Amino acid sequence: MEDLLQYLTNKARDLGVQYTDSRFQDVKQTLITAENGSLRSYESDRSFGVGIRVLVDGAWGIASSTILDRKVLGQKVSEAVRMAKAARKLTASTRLAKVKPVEATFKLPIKIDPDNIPPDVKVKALLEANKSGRSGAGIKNSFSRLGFLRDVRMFTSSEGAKIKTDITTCGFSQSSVAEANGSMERVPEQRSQCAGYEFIEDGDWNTFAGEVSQLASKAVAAPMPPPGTHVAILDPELIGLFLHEALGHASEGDLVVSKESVLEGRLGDSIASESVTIYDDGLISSGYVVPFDDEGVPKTKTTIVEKGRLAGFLLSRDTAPELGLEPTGNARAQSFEHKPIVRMTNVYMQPGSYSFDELLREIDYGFYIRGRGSLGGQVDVGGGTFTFRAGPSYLIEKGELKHMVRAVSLAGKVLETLRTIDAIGKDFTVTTSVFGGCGKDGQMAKVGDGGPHVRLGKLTIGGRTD
Amino acid sequence: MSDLLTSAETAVKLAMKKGFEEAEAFTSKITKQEIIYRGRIEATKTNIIAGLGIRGIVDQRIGFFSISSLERRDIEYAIDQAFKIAIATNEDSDWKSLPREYGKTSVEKVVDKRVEQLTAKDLVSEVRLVLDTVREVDQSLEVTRGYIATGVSSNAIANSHGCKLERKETNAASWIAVKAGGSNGKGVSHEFSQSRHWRGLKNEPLARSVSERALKMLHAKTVPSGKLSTVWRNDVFGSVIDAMLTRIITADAIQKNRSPWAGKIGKPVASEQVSIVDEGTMAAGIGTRHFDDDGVPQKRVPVIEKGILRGFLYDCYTAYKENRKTTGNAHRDFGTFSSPPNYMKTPSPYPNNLIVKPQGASPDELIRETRNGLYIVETIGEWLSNPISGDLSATVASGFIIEKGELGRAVKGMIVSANFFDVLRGRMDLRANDLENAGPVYAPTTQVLDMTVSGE
Repeated sequence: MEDLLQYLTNKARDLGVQYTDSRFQDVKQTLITAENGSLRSYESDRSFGVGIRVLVDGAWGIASSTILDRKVLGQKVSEAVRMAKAARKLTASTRLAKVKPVEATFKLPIKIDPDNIPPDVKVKALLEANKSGRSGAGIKNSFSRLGFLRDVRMFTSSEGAKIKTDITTCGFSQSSVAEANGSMERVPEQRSQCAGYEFIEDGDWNTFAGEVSQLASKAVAAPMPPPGTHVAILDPELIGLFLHEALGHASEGDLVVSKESVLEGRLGDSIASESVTIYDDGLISSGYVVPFDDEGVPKTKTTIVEKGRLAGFLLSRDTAPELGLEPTGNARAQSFEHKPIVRMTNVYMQPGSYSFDELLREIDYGFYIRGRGSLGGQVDVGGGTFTFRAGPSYLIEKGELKHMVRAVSLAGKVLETLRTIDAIGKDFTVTTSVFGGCGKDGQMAKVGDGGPHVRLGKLTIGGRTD
Repeated sequence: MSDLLTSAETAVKLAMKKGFEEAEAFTSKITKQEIIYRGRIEATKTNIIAGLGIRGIVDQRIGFFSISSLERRDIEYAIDQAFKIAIATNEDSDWKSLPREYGKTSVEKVVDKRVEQLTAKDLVSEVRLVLDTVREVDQSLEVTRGYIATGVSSNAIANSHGCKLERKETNAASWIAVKAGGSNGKGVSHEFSQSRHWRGLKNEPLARSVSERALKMLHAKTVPSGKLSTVWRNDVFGSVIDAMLTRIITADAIQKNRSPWAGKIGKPVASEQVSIVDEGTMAAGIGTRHFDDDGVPQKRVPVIEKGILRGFLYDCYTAYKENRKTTGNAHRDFGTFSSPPNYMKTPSPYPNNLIVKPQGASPDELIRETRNGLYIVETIGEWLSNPISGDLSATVASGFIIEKGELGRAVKGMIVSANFFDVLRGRMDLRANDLENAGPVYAPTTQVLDMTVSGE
């Protein structure tokens, strides 16, 4: 494969491009699904292909193919050059930040390759957990999945970079539907890790599935919160999602360069309370492992917010020069066919000093917002509005946790909500997912996020009064 | 015969030789062209993806494997993997058989030759049109992101009962984000358009609409919490229907108790004013195809007629389980431009073109009729709603106050919520005549009464 990539690099060079890189990717995925006690599907796939990127007169031409034939790929290189040239009069005059070409191999250490576990062993483990998920009052549906992903990527550039990464991820997910008094509620939850099959072997998925179902049974009978703006404690799972939506996207360099982000021009400004420090880190334990990005740049630990001040953006080689900054290794592509764009890796908040009880004690009326059962979130980066959907959560009254509330939607403004963080817990958890990811510009990326328990003074909670 | 069909037939033959009792191969070739721009063009892209999914059955055990190649050795590898999976899995007592008959229905305007012949220059001149139009509306506007993408998707399917078919469709999509107000501006707006046809994109009106709204959004604020009547722009209401209905009207959701509508056929689930039909053969429809991903002709499937629940969407597997005919709703992808190639998945039921029946009024008349409330033009997070409980919530990214039947100040940032089953039962009776799609759903501009608004 290295020969093929070298051939494509030479071919592009011969066509007079400023810069070129080639990416080969070989992905194996397996998704096994069980529902209500029986196996629903066992889907497995292998996808490989090559993506070539050429910089011509300041514009990127990108070509990709699953057909790994020199002739076909050679034609694709010519086509990429031709397309980039067609755009000549309207191009963005892209400049690339200088980086030292890296030669490296990174293979995530795993104990057991999921490929070496026979399918029947995986099916048995899944069906057992699925069965445990059927217990609980009013459970109508138990839906369980085992997911495996092995993502091998090779990168070469006309500057001499040569990188190979090999990351394996495994996970289990459970979604349970409960019914009570004519209403139904679904609670989904998952656990994943960049690891081998040992992660599945070591987990107690029967208990996990049972707990998700019990949560669904309880949630279906819970009331909705009253609508309005309230004090809230977010748990580590939810603070991760919150940071991802409320800050992470706005710190992406491409959105800063295009002036779409509300953080544009605010480097050094105070955007959060002084106790807040936030990082994006490709190698944080239990996050999604990103040692290098898809431009061959090492993913360093990037400080986005330091003691409340905006300290940095997430940058690619073509966005960094626009802002006079250095690339941070955040140019990531979903696959060989996609253009590397600025993406988060694992965004998290540094823990503080509060115990959970201390966070709770001072709240007269508010909500404890939980991540378990959350459906995800979304942000309108330009408008600065973010939203996310929490799992079953709890009312807080006079410093104490009260009854459960369900169907909790939350919304806020990027620049306003971060300022309302007034206390940060001392615990710390980061999670990732083999099942989902973050969507941007039509691409999905594997990410992780997390932090401690965090208290916010003001968050819009979408309840209902019918 | 095309390469795709030859590969599919070869795969079926090899799979039977391997020891499967039944086998099916689904092959795809997808070519895409895309141009990505901000203020100026950032990248041009050309892609080709070819692959195959093989499904084999032995002793009611199903194995499936897909691979991004049509090379003989890769097909053999995929068959070996599928066989290993099949013999390791448990019997599926609901498995009857693969379809014993394929069929093609006649559909119009799913292929645009223009899309197949487009050159980079055509795409570039369309980007120029967008950028010029935005500037024409206001010099200070900035196009912060945008893309124009086109694709040609060819598929073939064959099985061991001697059935074989092939089909082709074209697609085009355009997305524009525009910002007003220079470096301090917060007026942002987005528009998306999707069509089977190159000229269906209507980039100029799209650029005009997104620009004009971005200017209006400059001073948008939230509103106080309370109850308000709302009017949802057609495509945004389409995405609400997509979030709330597409996953509870499929036969697998019903059979597996994931839908509150199980056992409710023939019963009222909505007011008499509401009719919803899945129109699998609609001319130029985003989900229109000659046959579905099982190889069965697509057709018209009434879902709700004058408030009465009439039917669910079936693929072959779920239909055979109930000893009935499929409705031609098998999908291996979910209709979006970024979803994985269809050969990578086994079929499951999903809407083709789910249409909320429009009425006679214009959107303006609907706004006038509403008198006081909220006009919702863009939302985020509506897809986070819970279709099983019916808890609908969406965060408004761009909207306008309706005052005395006229559009007033721009608003954003509030969460609007309702129970969607209550909405169906008499709170969405007033709809306009302007169908537009969001994914597989076509909806008109729709009034929704009494929504809870969480704002200030």
